[in-house]
Amino acid sequence: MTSSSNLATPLTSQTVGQALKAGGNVAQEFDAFWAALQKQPYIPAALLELCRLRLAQMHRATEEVKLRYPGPQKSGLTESKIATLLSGQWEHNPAFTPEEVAVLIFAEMYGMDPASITDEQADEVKKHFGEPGLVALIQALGIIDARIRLSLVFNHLN
Amino acid sequence: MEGKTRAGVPKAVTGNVIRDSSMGLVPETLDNFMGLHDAVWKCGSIGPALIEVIRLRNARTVNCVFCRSVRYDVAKRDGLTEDRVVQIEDGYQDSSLSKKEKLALAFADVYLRDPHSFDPTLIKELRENFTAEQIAHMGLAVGTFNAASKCAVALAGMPESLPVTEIPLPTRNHAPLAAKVA
Repeated sequence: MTSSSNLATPLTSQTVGQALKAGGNVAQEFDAFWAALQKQPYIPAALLELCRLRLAQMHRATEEVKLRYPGPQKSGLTESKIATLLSGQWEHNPAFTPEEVAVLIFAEMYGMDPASITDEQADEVKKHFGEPGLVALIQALGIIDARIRLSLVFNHLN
Repeated sequence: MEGKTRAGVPKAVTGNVIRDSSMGLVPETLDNFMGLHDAVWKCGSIGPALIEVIRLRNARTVNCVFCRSVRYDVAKRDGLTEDRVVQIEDGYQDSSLSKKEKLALAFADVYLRDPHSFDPTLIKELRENFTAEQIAHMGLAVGTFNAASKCAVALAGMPESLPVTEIPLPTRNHAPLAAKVA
């Protein structure tokens, strides 16, 4: 038996902080880490946004999939590209660069099971973004995943 | 899981197991991660033993070899024994773990296995036994540990097994002493 959400507007990665406010300093540090990841210089914000949307889709997080962070759209990420991502037809689509494809493949495997990521998939990410980029990507995927999971969990608790 | 790790480590060695890991290759986020890690362990609303119970449930679910082998000294000082640690497995509901430990594990399992599926009976019991602050802290703890374990797994290179090892909790400003193999 599953509880349904009591919230008029379900939480997302952007609003989950409201539900976690009772966590005080821990919640603030969680938000600070997320803010730092959004500013890191290795993986572009638009590409992290595509990763967020793909992970949201894999989580069946409907509200998260509808959410758009303003920064990536200002840097040129279009709804057309997002629609292609969400249709599943992105891997061989010329609108996606080789580095975007490398990162999105990695993000999918991370979302399914990080143990299933291959050396070749990690090498493709490193080819474009170096070892620091690979680590930054993994950290970002971890916190994106955490914020989505927490929003789904706390939808039931609020 | 054998083979080479997918990213190196910083050249400078600090003695802090997190700073000296591949996480140290991203200085732009390292201090923030350390701050979050510190805050989770020092939150105060739930003790280190219960935080460690959550951490180990995550470690075993993600199957992070390093995370599974570690025992933080603060949890041991707070009373967590290996006799209790071995009960953090499937079937813990029938173990001799305390009611709060079992509820914390059940909550962690919702996060780890299916965040869409949250039994209303469990929600009621969580609210009866934990404050809103404690529930928020448990959520943030399992989220942080899950991200960290998945980072270790995604970077690969861990051996198939490691001996259980007690280590000092790595904190933001501290380089711990050498590890003790349990």
